[in-house]
Amino acid sequence: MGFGGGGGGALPNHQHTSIPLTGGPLDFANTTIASLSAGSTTFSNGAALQELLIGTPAQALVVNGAGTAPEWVTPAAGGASSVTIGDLANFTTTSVVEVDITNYSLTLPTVSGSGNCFLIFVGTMARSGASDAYYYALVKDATTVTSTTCEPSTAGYNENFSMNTVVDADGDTLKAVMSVAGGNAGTFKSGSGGIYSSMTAFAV
Amino acid sequence: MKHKFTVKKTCTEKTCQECADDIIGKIKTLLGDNISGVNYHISINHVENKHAIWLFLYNKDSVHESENTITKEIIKQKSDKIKKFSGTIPTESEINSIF
Repeated sequence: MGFGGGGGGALPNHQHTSIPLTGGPLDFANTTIASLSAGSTTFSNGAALQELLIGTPAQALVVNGAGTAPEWVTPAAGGASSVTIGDLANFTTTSVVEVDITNYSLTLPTVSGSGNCFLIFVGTMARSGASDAYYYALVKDATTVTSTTCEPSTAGYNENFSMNTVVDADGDTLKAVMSVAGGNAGTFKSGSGGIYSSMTAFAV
Repeated sequence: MKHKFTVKKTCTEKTCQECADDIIGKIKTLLGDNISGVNYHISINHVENKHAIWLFLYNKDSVHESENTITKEIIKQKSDKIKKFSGTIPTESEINSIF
């Protein structure tokens, strides 16, 4: 039976309070009937109750972008795609045009919602005898998304550098490349002796 | 033109630059007057006991060559810094003999 009273005439104005015969409080615990789908939840838009259908498995309930209502969203992928230093080796090149740094590639996460990835690249390098400028870049598919130049002041000593940026979390391939302006050997260090170069993509 | 080969060498974080200098020095001697970075380039992945070495001798002016380490395809990029390798191209056995 609906709130109309089952044929007994229009339901008079009343409040759902703890006072009997004025409607009483709605008993939501498996008693009150409403035209909702299984798993739905309700919220108010300020004028009337609204139904929010249940989301898909693993989605989370958050406030929408306008800050006016709840919505289901797919959270960022758990655990970032990353390259770890343990599997990598030091890499040397004399190339004046960018070449791939062996094994420094990863597949970016695919994330709905904000759909962004924060890229963090921390590197260490050393050069040979002649002074030179070493160019490093992160390439997303075929597009350079960030770059830097490292010029170690003294031969044989390690120099640190970093690159950070935000890109779309769209499953593209990300790789690190390097080159040297004057063709003098430079070695990107990773994977041994406590030298921690790494490239990480965090879904945000 | 790509020559890719491996050399059984061991180095550490502290000695890998010397290791690179040793490998590059031998190849430079073999290639004579050609200039590293201009007529060719060398890349080395210092894997323990199995150093991977890429030696690219450039076939044309202004065309740089390298290997896509994911797909293994040759990447060709235009660069005015690149000059064609001159002289006799060493054979695989000549390259291997210097290590």
